Amino acid sequence: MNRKINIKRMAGILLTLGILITLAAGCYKEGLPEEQDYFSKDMNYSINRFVVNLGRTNPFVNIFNADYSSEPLTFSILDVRHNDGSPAPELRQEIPVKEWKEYYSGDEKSIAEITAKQQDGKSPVLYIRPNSGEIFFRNTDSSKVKIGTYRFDVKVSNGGGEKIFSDMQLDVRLPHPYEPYEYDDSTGLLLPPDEGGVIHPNQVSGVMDMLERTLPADSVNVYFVKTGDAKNTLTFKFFDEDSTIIPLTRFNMMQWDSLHYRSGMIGADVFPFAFNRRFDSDSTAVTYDIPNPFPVLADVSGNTDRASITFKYNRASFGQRKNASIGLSFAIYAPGEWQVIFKFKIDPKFDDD
Amino acid sequence: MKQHYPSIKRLIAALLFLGGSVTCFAQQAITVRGRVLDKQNGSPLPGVSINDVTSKKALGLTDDRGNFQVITESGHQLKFRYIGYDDQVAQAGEAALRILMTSTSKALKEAVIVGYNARTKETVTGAVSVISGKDIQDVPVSNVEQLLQGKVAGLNIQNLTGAPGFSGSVSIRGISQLNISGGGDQATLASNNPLLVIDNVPIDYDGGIDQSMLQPGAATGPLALIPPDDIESIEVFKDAQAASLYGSRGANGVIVITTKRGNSPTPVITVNSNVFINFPPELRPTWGGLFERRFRVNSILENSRDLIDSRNKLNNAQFLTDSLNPFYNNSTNWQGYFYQTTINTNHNVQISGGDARLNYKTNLAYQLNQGVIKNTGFNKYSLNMQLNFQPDQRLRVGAQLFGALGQKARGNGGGLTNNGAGNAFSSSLNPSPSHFIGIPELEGYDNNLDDNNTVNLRGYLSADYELIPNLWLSSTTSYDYYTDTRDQFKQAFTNNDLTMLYGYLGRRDELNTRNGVNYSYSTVPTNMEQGHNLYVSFFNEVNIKTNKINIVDLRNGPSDYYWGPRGYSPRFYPGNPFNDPNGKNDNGVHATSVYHALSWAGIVSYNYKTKYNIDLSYRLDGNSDAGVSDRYSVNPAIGLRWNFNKERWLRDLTWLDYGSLRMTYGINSRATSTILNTLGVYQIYADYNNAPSVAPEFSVLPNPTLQPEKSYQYDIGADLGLFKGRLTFTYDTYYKRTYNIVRSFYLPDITGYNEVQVNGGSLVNYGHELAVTARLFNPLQPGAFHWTVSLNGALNRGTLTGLPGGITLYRQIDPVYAEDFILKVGRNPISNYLYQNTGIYQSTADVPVDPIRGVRAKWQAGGTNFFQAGDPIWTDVNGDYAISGNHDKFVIGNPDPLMTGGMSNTFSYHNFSLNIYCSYLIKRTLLNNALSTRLQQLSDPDKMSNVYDLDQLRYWTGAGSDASYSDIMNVYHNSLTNPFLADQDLFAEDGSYFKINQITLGYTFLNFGFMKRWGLHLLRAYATLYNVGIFSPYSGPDPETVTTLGRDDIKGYPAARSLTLGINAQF
Repeated sequence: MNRKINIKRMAGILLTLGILITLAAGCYKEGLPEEQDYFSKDMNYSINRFVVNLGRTNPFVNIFNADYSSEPLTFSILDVRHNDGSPAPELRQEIPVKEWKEYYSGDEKSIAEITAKQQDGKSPVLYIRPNSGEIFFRNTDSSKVKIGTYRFDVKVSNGGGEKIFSDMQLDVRLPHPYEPYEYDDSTGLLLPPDEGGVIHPNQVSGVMDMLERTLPADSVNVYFVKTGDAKNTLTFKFFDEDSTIIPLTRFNMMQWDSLHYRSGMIGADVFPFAFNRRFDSDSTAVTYDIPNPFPVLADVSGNTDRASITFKYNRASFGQRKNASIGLSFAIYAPGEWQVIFKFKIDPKFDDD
Repeated sequence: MKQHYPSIKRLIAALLFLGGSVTCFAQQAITVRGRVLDKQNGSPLPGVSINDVTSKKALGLTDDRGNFQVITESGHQLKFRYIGYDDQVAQAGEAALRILMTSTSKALKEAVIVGYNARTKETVTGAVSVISGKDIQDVPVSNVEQLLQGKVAGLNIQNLTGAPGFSGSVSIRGISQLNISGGGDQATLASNNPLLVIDNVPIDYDGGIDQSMLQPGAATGPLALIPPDDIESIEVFKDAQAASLYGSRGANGVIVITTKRGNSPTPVITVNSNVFINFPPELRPTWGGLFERRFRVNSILENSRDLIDSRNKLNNAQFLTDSLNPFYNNSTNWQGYFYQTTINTNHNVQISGGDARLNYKTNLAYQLNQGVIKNTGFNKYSLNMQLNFQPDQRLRVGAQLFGALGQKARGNGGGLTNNGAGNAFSSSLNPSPSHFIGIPELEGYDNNLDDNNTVNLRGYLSADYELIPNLWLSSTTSYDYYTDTRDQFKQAFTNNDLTMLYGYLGRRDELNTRNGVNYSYSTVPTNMEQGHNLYVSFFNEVNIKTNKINIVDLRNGPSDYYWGPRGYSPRFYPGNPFNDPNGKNDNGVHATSVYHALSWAGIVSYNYKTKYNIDLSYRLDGNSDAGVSDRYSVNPAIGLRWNFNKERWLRDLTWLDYGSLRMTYGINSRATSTILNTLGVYQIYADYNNAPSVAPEFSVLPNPTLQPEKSYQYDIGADLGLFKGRLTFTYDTYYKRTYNIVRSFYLPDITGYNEVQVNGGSLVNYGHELAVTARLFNPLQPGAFHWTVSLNGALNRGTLTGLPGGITLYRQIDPVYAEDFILKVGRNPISNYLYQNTGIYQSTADVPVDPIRGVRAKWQAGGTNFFQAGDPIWTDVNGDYAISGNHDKFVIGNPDPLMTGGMSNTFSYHNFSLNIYCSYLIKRTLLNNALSTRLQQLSDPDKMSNVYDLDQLRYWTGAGSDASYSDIMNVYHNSLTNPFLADQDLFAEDGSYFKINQITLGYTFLNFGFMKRWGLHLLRAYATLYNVGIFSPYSGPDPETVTTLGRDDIKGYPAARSLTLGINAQF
C-alpha cells in the first residue's frame, strides 16, 4: 500500500520535473533576439541626378548599393515635384509602352518578328523597379512631360527599417532623334564644331584624294536628314565636294549580303544589318527598313548600343592594291524616313592609278 | 627525475623478496583456495590482488579463471583489490572462498576530480561525464581525441583530417567563438577547445598548434602524445559549476585526464602490442585514357567560343592532338601513386605496483603510424613515470614525469589539416612517373622533406600535509615544456622552380603552482550518510607561460641538394619579390610572448546526509594580457544537488538504484585579449628628423578596458539508475550565454587607426543532453550472453545575440571562393552567404526576360553573360534580371551541427566479446567545395588535370533531362556564367552522418597451460576494424573530413580505415 503511494508520488515528482524542464527549455528562446532583416545605414544610390531625354527609354540600372541589407528591399517613388516644389503628377501618369515578352536575339528576320516579341503595356513615366531600385524614364514626348528639372524622393524599406533618399533630381531634356546628335539637348542650339557640332565618320582610313594624300575623318561630314514619316527607313548616300552624288558601285569591296553589326547589349552580331535592303535604280542610294529605335536596344542599353556600317573600296595605287574604308556608328531614335548623307569636303579618289 | 628509476627497481626487488619470504613461512600456515567473480555478471576476475590485512603482506594474484591459492595463517583477514571494483575482505579459513566483487563504476561512488579535488560523484553538483580508460582501448589511433568521439553527450568531436598526429575539432555545448581567420578551405574558426588537465596539471589543449593559416609549427598537441593505454579515466566538465574552479581557462569546458596508478602489491607488467594496417580510402572514380581524350577533344571542338578558338586550343594542347605519340598515349591512375597501404605497430608496456602507501607506475609507449598518403605519418615515443608516497597518514607526496617525442612527416602537405593530394592529380594521358618524368605534386610527396618533431617534458610534484586533523595543506607545482621543430625542404621542381628551405623552432613552457588549504568536517565521520558534512578549500594559482618561435625561410637556393645556409641571409630579405612571390617570407622571430596569471579560488561544499548538496565556489583571475584597467575577472558558481533516492519515502523502492536532481549556475571566463590589443604596438619608423623613431603602429588602437570573454551557464540535470543497474539515465539541459566576445570594431579614418578590439559579441547556446545505458541481457551465470547498449545524444542550438556597436550583421569576406560568412543577430552564430539554386533552365525560353530591356537574365550586372538552356536557375532576389553577389545572395546554413552523439553495443559470450561503437551527427551544412573545384576545372579542357567520372553526376544533357548540375560539356559558356561556382546552395548539402567507428572482437585466453608456464595472469587477443564506414546523404566521400566551418576541401586528407590485430598480456 505504502509502496503504491510512493510510486504515485514518484510519478508525480517525475511529471513535475518533466514539466519544469520543458518549461525551462521553452523559455530558452524567450529573450533571444529575433532574426530581423538587416537594414544598413550605409546603403546608397551611386547617382542622384538623372539626366534623361525625351523620345526614348532612359534606363538607370545597377545604381543602388544595398550594403548587404536583407533583400528584397521595397522601393517606391514619393513626392514627384517640379523644381519649384509644385507637384508633377505627369511623371507618375501611366503611358502606353512596349514591353518585351521574349528576348531580342538579334537574328530576327523581319521587323514583324521583332515586334511580335513585344506587347503593349502601361507604365508610369518615371518608373522604379520595386525590388532593385533601378529607375527608368519611359519613352514619352514633350506633350506629356515638359523639359526641365524635377525632384523626387525614393523610399527604401525592408523588415529592418526604412530610409528616404530625398531630393533626387530628374533633368528632362530634349529628344535626340539620332545619335551622334549635333545639337545641345537643353537649349536646342547647334553645338560648337569642336564639341560635336559637326558629325564625322568614326573611321576613315586609306581614303586618298586626287593628290594621293590620305584624308582624315574630318574631311567627311555626316548629315542625318529626315525626309518623311511614312515608314521607318534608313538610306545612305554619298556626295563629293561638288555635291555630286557618288554611286555606291564605287565601294567595290562592300559585301552587302553579309552586313551586320555588333550589339553590345546582347553581346552578339546582329544579322542582317537591317531589313529589305534595296538600291536605287542608278545605285546612288541604299535603303533599309529599320525597326524603331535602331538598333533595337539602342535606348534601353543606356544609349550605348549602336549600329555601325563600313563602306569599303579598294584600288590599285602605284603597283599596290590599297583598301579604304569609311565607317560610322550611329543610332536612330525618332521614327520616320531617315537619310544618312556622307559629304566629302575633298574629293576622294576611287579610280586606279 | 631520473633517480626514480633505481628507486622503482629497488622497490620491485624488495617486493620480490617479500614474496619469497612468504614461502619461507609456508609450513606454519594454511592454504586458502577460492575464486573471485564479478558480482554483476559472474565472470571470473583475473589478476585480482590479494593482501593479508592482518600481517600487511601481499599474497598474490588470481589466475586467468579467477582462481587463487595463497598461503597464509588461519583467521587472517584477506583483502581482495581490483581496479574498478570495491575492495572485499574475507576471513582466511579451510573452506574455499567465493568472492563476489562489485564494480564501482556502475554506482555513483566513483571518485571524480573536481577543481583539483577528488570527490564522490554523488556529491558533485556539476554536469560531469566520465569515460573509463577501458572504453578507449583496442585501437591504435594517433590522437586520443579520435576515441572520445560520440562517447560523451555534448562533447562534439569531429575528426577533420585523417593525417596521423593532427587534431580534429572539439567543442563542448556548441561553438563559443566568432572569430574566423583565413579564407576558402583554410577558413578557421577560433579554437573552441576546452582546457585540458592531465593528472592535475592544466595544459593548453592546443599546445603546439598554431591556429593561424600558415601553420608553421609541428602541430602536435598534447592529446596526440599521451598513449590511450595509460589513461585510467577521462572526465568531461560541461557546465559552469564544474568548470568554474579552472577559472580563466575553463569557459569552453574542461577535460580532465587521469593516468593509471599502481595498485597491486606485486608488480604487474602489462603489455599491449598490436599491428595495424592503414588502408587508403576508396579512390575517386576518374576517366582515363581514351575517355579523357574524347571528353577533352569533344568539349573543345563542340563548345569553344568559335572555330578559331577551338583550333587554337587543339593546336596548343599537344597532349590531346598528338595521339600517336606514345608519350601522351597513357592511362595513368595518378591517385594510385599518392596513396599507399601501410603496416604499422603500436606497443605499450606498463609496469606498476604498490598500494595506497606507496605506488609507482611506468608506462612506455611507441607507435609507428604511417599515413595513407606517401611520406606522411606520425611516430611517437612516450614515457610516463609516476610515484605516489604516503609515509604516514598525514603526508602524501606525488611526483610524475612525462616525456614524449612526436615525429611527424607531412609529405608535401600544409595547412591546418595537412592537406592531402586531392587536387594534385595530373592528366591520365601523361606517362606514369619514372626517373626522367614526373609531376611536381607527386615529386613533392616523393622527395620533399618535412620533418616535424615535438618534444614534450612535463613533471609535477605535489605534497599534501595534514596540519591538524582534517585540515590539509597542499601544494602542487608542474612544469610543462615543449620544443617544436619543423625542417622542410622543397625541391625546385615541386615549388614553382624555387627551392624552399624552411626551419621552425618553437619553445613553449608553462609553470604552474597551486598552493592551498582544505578542511573537511563531518558530524558523523564514520558514515557521511548520517550527518552534516562540510568541505572548505582555498587555493591560489600562479601560472607563467612563455613562447618563442624562430623561423628561417629561404627561397631559391642554388640546388636541390644544397640545403643551406641556415642563417639569415640578406639576399633573402622579406619582401623580395623574386624570392618570395607570396609575401610569406617570415624570417626571424615569428612570435615571442610571456604571460603571467594569478588566481585565487575558494570552494565551500556542504551536504546533509549526502542527500542535499550545495557547492559554492568563487574564483578571481588576473592576467598580464587583460586590459590594464580591468585585470581581474570573477568566476562565481553555485550548484545544488538532491539525491532523492535517499529520501525515506523512496528508500523502499527496490527498482530505484539512485536518482538525483542537479541545478547549477556559474560564470566562466576566457583570456583572449592579448597584450597587443590592450597596450597597442609600437614600431620603429625609419626617419624622423633624420633619426629612427618609435611611434604607435596605427593598425589597432589599444583598448585598456578590454575584458576577458565570459560565459554564464545554467544547467539542470537528472541522474536515474533503475532495476539494479540495468538501466541508467543522465539528462542535462543547459542555457549558456557567451558574452564579451572580442571583435574588431572598425574606426573612421579621422582616428588615425584602422580598428579597435572591443568586447561586444555575444551568443547563446542551449540544448539537451541524454545518455542512456541499458544492460539488455545481464544474466548472473558466468559465460552467458551479455548485451549492453549505451546511447547518447546532445541537441544544441546556437543563436547570435549581439555584435559590437549595435550592428546586427557582419559579413566576413572569403577572398578565395566568395563563400562569405555572415554573423547575423537572431540566427545561428555563423551562416553562409550563398546564391540559391532552384534548378536548371530546360530551355532558353524559360530564362526570364527583362520586359524593359528586352534581354534575358544574366550573370553579373555588367557584361552579356546571358543564361541559356542548361544553366542553373539562381534566384534573382532584387528582380533586376542579373545575378550579382551584392544583391542575390541568401543567408543560409549552419556549419554547427544540431545534434551529435554516439552508440555503443557490447556483447560477450564465454571468452568472446564484441564491441560495436558508432557515432552520429544530425543536420549540419557542408559546402562541397571539392566537387565545385573539380567541376570548375573541367571548364578548361585544354589544361592538364584529371577528369572525374562524369557518369556519376546527374548533369544536364538536353531539354527534359533530370539533372542537378548544369551542362558540364558546354565549357566555353560555363566559363562565362560560372554554373559551378562554389558559393551557391547547390553545393550546400546536409552533412548528417552515421558512422561505425569501431568494431572490436576480443578473445580472452583462459586455462591454457602455457599461460601458467609463462606467468601470464591475463592474455587477450583482439581484432579491431576502425573507421569502418560512414553513411550519409552527403555526396562527397566523407562528411566528417571537412573544415571546422563545414567546407569540404578537395585537398583534405582522407580518413583511413584500419585493421588492428593485437594482444594484451599481463604478467
